[in-house]
Amino acid sequence: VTRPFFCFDLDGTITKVEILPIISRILGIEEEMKQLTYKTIHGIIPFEESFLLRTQMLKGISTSEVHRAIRGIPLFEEIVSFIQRNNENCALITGNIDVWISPIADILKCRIFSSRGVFSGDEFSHVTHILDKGKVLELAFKDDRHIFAIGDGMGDVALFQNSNTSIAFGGVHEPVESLVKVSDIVMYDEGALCRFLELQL
Amino acid sequence: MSIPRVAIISAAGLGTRIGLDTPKCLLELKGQSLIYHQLMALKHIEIIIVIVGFKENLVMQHVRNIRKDVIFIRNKDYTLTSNVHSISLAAQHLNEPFLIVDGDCYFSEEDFMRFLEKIETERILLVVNPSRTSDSVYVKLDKEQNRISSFERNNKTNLEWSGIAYLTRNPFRLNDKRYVYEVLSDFLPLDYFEMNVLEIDTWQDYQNAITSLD
Repeated sequence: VTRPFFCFDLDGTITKVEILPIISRILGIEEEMKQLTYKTIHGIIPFEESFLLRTQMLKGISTSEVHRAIRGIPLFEEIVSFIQRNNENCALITGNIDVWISPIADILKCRIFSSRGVFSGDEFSHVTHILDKGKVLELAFKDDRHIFAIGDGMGDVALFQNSNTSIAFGGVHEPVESLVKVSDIVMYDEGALCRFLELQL
Repeated sequence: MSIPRVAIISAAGLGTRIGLDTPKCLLELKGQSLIYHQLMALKHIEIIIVIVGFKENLVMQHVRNIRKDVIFIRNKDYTLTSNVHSISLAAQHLNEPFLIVDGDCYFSEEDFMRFLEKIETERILLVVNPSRTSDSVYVKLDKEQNRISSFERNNKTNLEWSGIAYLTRNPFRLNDKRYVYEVLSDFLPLDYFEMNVLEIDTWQDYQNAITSLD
């Protein structure tokens, strides 16, 4: 029997809100960020272009303030608990920047694949590496694991296409239609998702 | 009584014989959809998996309004594949006993509870009902009338296979073109439980079901 490995998207899958708009509140540009984020989730702007644009808007933002904001973000606690209990068999796969999401990484204690940035002291400068979610699965995992991918937005299509079983999760909003079309399973309830994942162990 | 944790409702098919542009699980009896009645009867089951295909968005939207924690498994090839394939898409993820329920039938909560009460962990249990629908799969009982000895397509008996069963493990394989009863034939003789199930395969079945519930 092939052992399972679980790959989770972050925004809207582990967090109950999108992270960049919350961070952008610090600079008072939440509305602009919300609109760009919405367009990205729904595939109106490609992730890479949008991410570069959105991070440029956050140039100079203080890391300690970003961490304070991120610590206040509500999480899907049952999913967090599942990851913590099975951290050896779980990974977080997110386009967000490693330094910013470190408070969440500290909670989850699983493998993290993310984008990377350059910082000048406490201040964010620019992005140096944007994560390709599809490539992560191609490169990071051997064939002896059955990969379950869990996500909600257009950015997860490549993740889904490179997994063995894909789960479109509508815990916050309706999963994007194009993602549902490439998914194997659709769920809207955190408890149902965790019960299903427990069955795979 | 050993109530399984998981139930699989198969609701992916086109319903070619009834010829409607609506999934059969959404047909209404007593003012509610078939799948509404099923979810009410299955309310004590912890994990409900509904296999969707034909008009999946319509079915998912409808079901979510009844029970939010349903898991939907998509049969992307629902026009080309069998019900066995549909069930396998879910059962391949299970390592424990489970129920299967055809999405195109009606039964009462009380009858279904009586069926659950008869389940023993290690024994497959099939639901049969008095023969009434057209083009049925009939069941033949052994001499003592204790167990099902065979499934019959041409020799009519008093009982027919309902599409509802308790299975101790997954006997199904992906891309298998056989019918569910053909797969279950490998396990004969099998225990059965008789209850009133109204299967809706044709327009006439639907009209008969409406009349019988009036």
